[in-house]
Formats: sequence, structure tokens, C-alpha cells
Amino acid sequence: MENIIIIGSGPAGMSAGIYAARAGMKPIVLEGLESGGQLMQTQHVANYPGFPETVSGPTIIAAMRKQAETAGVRFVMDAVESVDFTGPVKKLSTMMGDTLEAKAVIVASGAGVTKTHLPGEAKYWGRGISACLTCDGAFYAGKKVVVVGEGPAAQGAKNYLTRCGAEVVAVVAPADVKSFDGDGSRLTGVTLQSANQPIQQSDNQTILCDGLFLVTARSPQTKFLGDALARDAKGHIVVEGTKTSVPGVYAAGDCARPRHKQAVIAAGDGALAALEAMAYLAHS
Amino acid sequence: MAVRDIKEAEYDEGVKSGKVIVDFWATWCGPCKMQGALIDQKIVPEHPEIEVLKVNVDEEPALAARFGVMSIPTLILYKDGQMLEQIVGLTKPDEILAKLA
Repeated sequence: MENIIIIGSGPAGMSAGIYAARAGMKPIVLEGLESGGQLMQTQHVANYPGFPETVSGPTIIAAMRKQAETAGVRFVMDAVESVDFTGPVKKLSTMMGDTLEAKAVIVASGAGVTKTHLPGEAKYWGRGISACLTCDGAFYAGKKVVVVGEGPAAQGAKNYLTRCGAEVVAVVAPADVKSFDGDGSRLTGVTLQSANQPIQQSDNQTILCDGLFLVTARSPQTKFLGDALARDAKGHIVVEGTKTSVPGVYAAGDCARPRHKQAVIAAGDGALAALEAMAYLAHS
Repeated sequence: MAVRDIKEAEYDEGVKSGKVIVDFWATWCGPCKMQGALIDQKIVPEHPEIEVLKVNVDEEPALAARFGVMSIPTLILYKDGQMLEQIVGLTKPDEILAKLA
């Protein structure tokens, strides 16, 4: 049985890992489906202390990972599918088909893009619709794309896609989308709500495009927890500090923060969760 | 032998016989990492008859374009030279094996 298993490898998971490893806990970090977390999708980070020049998310994550590995964190490429926190031994069932056991668990599973659940989204997901700029942006060089999102994230996505060589024909707010359209096998456009006139490339209210990137508000990735931990209506793990509703289970970063989803806050949460988990282990 | 990188020039020869999984991936794609681990750990050791061909889409953009790959991970499954299916998104080993059976 492990001392501490950390679920997630973004700033919260990395920081928790570094603190626990340096204290000799030999923690495991389960990397999850989006290894490195949301920073892997971020090209410019200007507010993370210690990087006076604007730095890319992947560069920060690579530095954190190197530090964690040096400290003795064991990274495992696996994702948790379900948990059993009913007994003193915490059990995690993983995608690889393993059941892992630990005395303490830190959930740092982060947040991911919020799907719109509008018509056509499921059908054309991966067939023109993407939520992963770094995975799929390069496929759209020389093609027309639409960004669905608002604020700096949408602007960042537009800039990134432009650098990939794509033509960003529109940036659309999620609330303005009526449906995602296609020819049966791939996306061909996006239709807006009638109140909103498309800006360009119009075909009635439809913007024609080859690809569409969702950069919508981020939802906590906590579904795998089921009823094991108290969560709010949106799925955030309910915490006091980093303590969850179950002794020995801690939560850090965006999965537990309804507001202020920031990398540096996640890293702070991760450190606090590791310290709390170690205090728990010392007294149990 | 069971897992190898493949380039455009070798592709048609590589998929023309037996059971083949072609895995389109890239270094910075998180789900691709998980897909690769699932294939390497859950399919390769138990199924020596299946060949796994890896296509790094950054190095082989022409292959990605040829198959209209727009999102990764994408897998293409072949049996005896016939393309069975092109699957988009993270896919579990049991599902892959069922399609190749």
C-alpha cells in the first residue's frame, strides 16, 4: 500500500508531489488523461512567480516535473475511473485495470472544457470540433476555423491558431451558438442563435468552417469520484482548506475551486494538501 | 518488433497483412500519452500477432492529411490489408481488441 497517491499532474499535483517526496513519502502521481493539465494548453503565462519573462505552460510543467522526479515522485501514466473511500484504506480503480491502495489521497484532477451539449457537438467531436489546441491546431493550417469562447482564453486561442497557419474566421460566444453543422462525417459550420448576426463568411446564420475550437469556461473534472466526496452543484469538491468530506482525502487546485482558477493558487493548494496529508498520516 | 514508428513511404506495405493498429499521436497531446500507454501495456504484451504502427503527426503530416486526421489520438485498424475502422479519441484496449477480433 502507498502512503500518498496524488491524482493529477498539473501545478497542484506537481506541487503536492514535490512536498510529499521531499518528506520521504515516495508519492505516486497519476498523470491522468491530460498529462500536465491545463497549462499544457497555455502558450503565455505572465503571472507565475519565478519566470520574469513570459513563459509557456509546457515549459513551466516540464520544470515542475523535473523537480518532482528529482525529489523522488513516481509518475504513473494512468487515470482514475472510480474510487472507494469508505474504509481507512483508500482504493482507486484505474483505466489500466489496476486497483491502487493508499493511506492518503490528494485529488488534483483539475478542470476541463465545458461541453455545450448543443446539437451536433457529440457527432462532430474530433471530426472538426476540438478542445485541444496543442493536439489539433496544426491540422488546420490553411483552413478556416471558428473559436467558441470569450475573453483572454478565446483571444489566446485565436492567436495560437493563427500562428498554426489557420484562418480564424470568427470568435463566437458559447451562448450565441445554436448548433454545430456537418455533412454527416465532418463539421462544415456553426449556426448562431437568430438574434445574432454572423460577422463574416455568412451563409444565412451559419458560419462555414473546417474546424472549431471550444475554449469555454472550465468545469471541474471530478465525475470519477461519484458520491465518494461532497461536491457542489457544479462538481467542485467541497473543501475546508484542502480537507474534503473524507478524512485522509484532500483536494487541491481547480477541481476544488469554484473561483480563482489560477496555476499559482493550484500550486499553493497542492503544497498545503501534501502538508495536511502528512499530518494526517503522522496521527493515524 | 510489435511497436514501431512508420513513415509515409512505408505505410502501405506496413498495413497490408495481419492485424495492425495505426496510432496517430503527437508529443504534446495528453490523451495520446494515455492511449500509447494502454496499447503498450495492455495490448502489446498479450497480443504478439498485432502490429502497432505509430505515426507522429508532427513528423508525418502527409499521412495525417491522407487519412483526414483532424483530432488525435486517432487509431486506424486493419485486418488482412482491409481498413476496419478509423477511431477518434481515447479508446480502451477491450474495444480495440473486439474490433480486431
